[in-house]
Amino acid sequence: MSLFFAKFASKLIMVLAVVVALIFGVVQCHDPGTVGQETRLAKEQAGAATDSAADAIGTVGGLYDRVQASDDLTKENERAILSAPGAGAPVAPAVDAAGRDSLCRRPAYRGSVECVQRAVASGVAEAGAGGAAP
Amino acid sequence: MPGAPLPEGSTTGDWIAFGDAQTGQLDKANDRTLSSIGIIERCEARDQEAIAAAGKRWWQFWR
Repeated sequence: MSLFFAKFASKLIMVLAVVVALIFGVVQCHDPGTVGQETRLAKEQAGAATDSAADAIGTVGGLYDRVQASDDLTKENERAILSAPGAGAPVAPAVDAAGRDSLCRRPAYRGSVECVQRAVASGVAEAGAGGAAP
Repeated sequence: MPGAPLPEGSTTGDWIAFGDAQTGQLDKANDRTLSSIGIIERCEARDQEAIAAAGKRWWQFWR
């Protein structure tokens, strides 16, 4: 009798364990807390994305204003520099050429029209300065 | 950001004006970099706040 009861009890415990595991799994899948959290996250992130878009538009707008202000200052400074006494003094040709050659070695100017022309002229001059053909 | 136009003439004034214009370009480039980094940093902070706010339960009033 006790053996029968023990077998029955062990089977009952096994069945109960499976049922509990199944119920737990279903509850986890349909946990309103998790679903609500995902909804809240989507809502919060949508709000954050809207704020970020407005921030980016405002920042870029401010950036363009400052670019315009910087360009205006450059023009104003140029007028002041060129109208200052002595501004027309010539720079020694060798220094001027060295300065331009230096700038032309920079990636920012390498493809500019003046630099390409200088490179071509320099190549032609070097070819012309070559020794006599053997 | 492109460099300032090369000096048109070869006078002292032309070269000094070029130096100033180049500084203006540098200012613009720095401003653009800082603005871009600022947009990204603020965007990331908002995203983190959104995640924290979404994970907060009603009884976690201190968070």
